[in-house]
Amino acid sequence: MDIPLVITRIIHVLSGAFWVGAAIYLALILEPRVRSIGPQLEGQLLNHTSKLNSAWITGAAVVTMLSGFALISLTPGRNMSQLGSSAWGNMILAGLILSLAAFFISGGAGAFSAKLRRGLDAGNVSSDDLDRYRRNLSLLSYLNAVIVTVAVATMAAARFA
Amino acid sequence: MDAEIAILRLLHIVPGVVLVGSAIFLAWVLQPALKVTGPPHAGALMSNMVKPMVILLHSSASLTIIFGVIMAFRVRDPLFDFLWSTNWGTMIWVGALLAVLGYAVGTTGGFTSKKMMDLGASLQGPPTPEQGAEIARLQARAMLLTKIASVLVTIAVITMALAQHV
Repeated sequence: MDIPLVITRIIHVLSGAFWVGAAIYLALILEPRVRSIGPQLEGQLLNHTSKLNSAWITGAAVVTMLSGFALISLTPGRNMSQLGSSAWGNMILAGLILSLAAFFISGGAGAFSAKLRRGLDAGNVSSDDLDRYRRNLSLLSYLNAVIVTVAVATMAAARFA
Repeated sequence: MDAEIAILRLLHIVPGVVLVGSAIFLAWVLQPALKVTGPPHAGALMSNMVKPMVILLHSSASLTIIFGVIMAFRVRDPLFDFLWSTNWGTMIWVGALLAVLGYAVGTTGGFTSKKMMDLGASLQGPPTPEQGAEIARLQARAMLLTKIASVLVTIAVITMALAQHV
């Protein structure tokens, strides 16, 4: 058994699973429910959860991408030069681009979450602005969940290309 | 491309990823954060979140298990010979057993949470010391079961991901 390959694969799979699962959980369950319980509770819950969520999800995304690069180099018969130049490489490259897009979209969602949290705390932001932050946060969260799911599907199907 | 296997793989992996990631997020990030937040916010959010959470977790678990079984039959024929006589088979059946066990433990944790929320909803005013202690006991039990379930499904994923390397 190739121990470095196996360990890297485990790290990639677990951090990737956490990233995707958490993104979907946040977009489909947590954010809509937090919003529906009213602005006062929403502010208090965001104070306790949003920084933590950002730290965990950003950390998982970085570990997934770095271990993914290592995995390409460690896998027998595969290397970086194949990215974009073979059927397998095209699929992996597409998955990588989607992952990077999701990473930046997730950052945008985090920024709107922070604006919303600060706005709710300060109490001097108009309800129109708060609604705009919520809409943007929802939109980016859904987009992020869809893109990371497509990225996983693309990479999981790469070996069959 | 073997289209059938590729599609089965996606139908197994995508809901599996959703299940494992959600379970880890719920057990190790969200529940501890809600515990710090405390009542009444944590209870209000949890009771509001239960229905979609149950739908997401049960549907992703069911899809993962069903398509995992179908895929196992399609990639190794006859499957039962491979399961008991090869290292690959051992890893697959151990992984499947851990996944089902994790699902069962997680479901038990869900029932415990529901019992706690029912008790909270039945209160007229602040809880008595006995009721408070009972709620705290149920909350601790639900959190522990969710953590155990997340660890079991995580080990299941590792076991299955390693099957092709042994």
